[in-house]
Amino acid sequence: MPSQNHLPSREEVSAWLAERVARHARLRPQDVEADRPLTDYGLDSVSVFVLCGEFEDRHRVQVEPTSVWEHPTVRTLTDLLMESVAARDTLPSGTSGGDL
Amino acid sequence: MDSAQLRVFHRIFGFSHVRLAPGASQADLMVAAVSALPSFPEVRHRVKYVIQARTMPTAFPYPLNPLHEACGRLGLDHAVAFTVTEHACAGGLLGVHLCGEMLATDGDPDALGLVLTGEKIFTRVAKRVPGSSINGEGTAAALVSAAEQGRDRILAYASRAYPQFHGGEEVERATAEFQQVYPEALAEILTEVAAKAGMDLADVDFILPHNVAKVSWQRLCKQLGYPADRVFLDNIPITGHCFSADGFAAYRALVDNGRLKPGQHYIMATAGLGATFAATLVRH
Repeated sequence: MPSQNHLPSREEVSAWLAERVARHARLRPQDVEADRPLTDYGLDSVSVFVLCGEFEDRHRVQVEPTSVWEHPTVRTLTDLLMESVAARDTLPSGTSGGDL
Repeated sequence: MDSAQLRVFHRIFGFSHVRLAPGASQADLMVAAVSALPSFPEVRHRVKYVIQARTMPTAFPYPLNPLHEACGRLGLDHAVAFTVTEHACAGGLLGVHLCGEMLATDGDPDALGLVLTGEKIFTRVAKRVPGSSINGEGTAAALVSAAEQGRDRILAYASRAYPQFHGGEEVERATAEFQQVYPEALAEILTEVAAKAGMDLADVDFILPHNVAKVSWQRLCKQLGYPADRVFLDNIPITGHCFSADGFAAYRALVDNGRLKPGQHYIMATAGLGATFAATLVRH
């Protein structure tokens, strides 16, 4: 598990997300297509919020929950998660994780 | 539901407690709701129609009929009583509209309609709407008049059906599509009912929503530019989603805590699986 102070790169986030989606869908990570809707892999909104919550805990970030639906693929959800990483420095000190 | 999913329902969707009534029958719940209407004993004889709005279309084996049982216990045997089902959780608003239309057609200014919302949960499927809500058994009753009586006047009602989402397996297959349609359809019904009343949505003081994931309402408000703090979400952690009773319970809470003032406007808005989107705009 990475240090919570580690700022993940876009490639790391995308790979982590693909691995989680693959695990959910019982596929190999390389079989997860970046632009295919997550719903095609059987992830409903709750499952996506669970993933975002796990990401928040791992990296001490806050993912904007109202934006999750507007990011329906691995590629776009990676965008959203990277936005939360970029905003991490603006969190109040002592904040641990987000709302998800 | 595992702990991670439970965390989402609690922290993101806003659910905490649900109101259940173990030991109380469907008829008990309806009688209790009507008994909480202060004016009911004085107007009982004027009630011409009783409409139960039900999400679960078949809940009782023949010959059990909780609606007729409740009518009997309430002294409403003289009334015409029936159930509406096909609008699911939007049935309560349909019931109010239907009562108003029938009473207006009849032309008797003293006649009243009685709408009953909320229901018992008998099956595992009925306990929650996947990805959306955890359900409760809160029940509400409303008296309807076609004459200008009472303190709330309905200015407009709007309803749209999306029958492609009807049916069990179809609903499962259509979940992704439904998630896509849902915010657009809800936004459309809100703006449509406001336009029907000759108002802008921005001038509506409150939205009384169905108690589904609060984040979905926050997202809708962001899209519409409507202030999220004017959507009454306070009941979500208290009652859960009580089928078509949510809007009526929200009304009661807003009146009881003094937030809804005379002359203010509110929209009761809801979606019923199957799928129907409905909204009623009211002046208090």
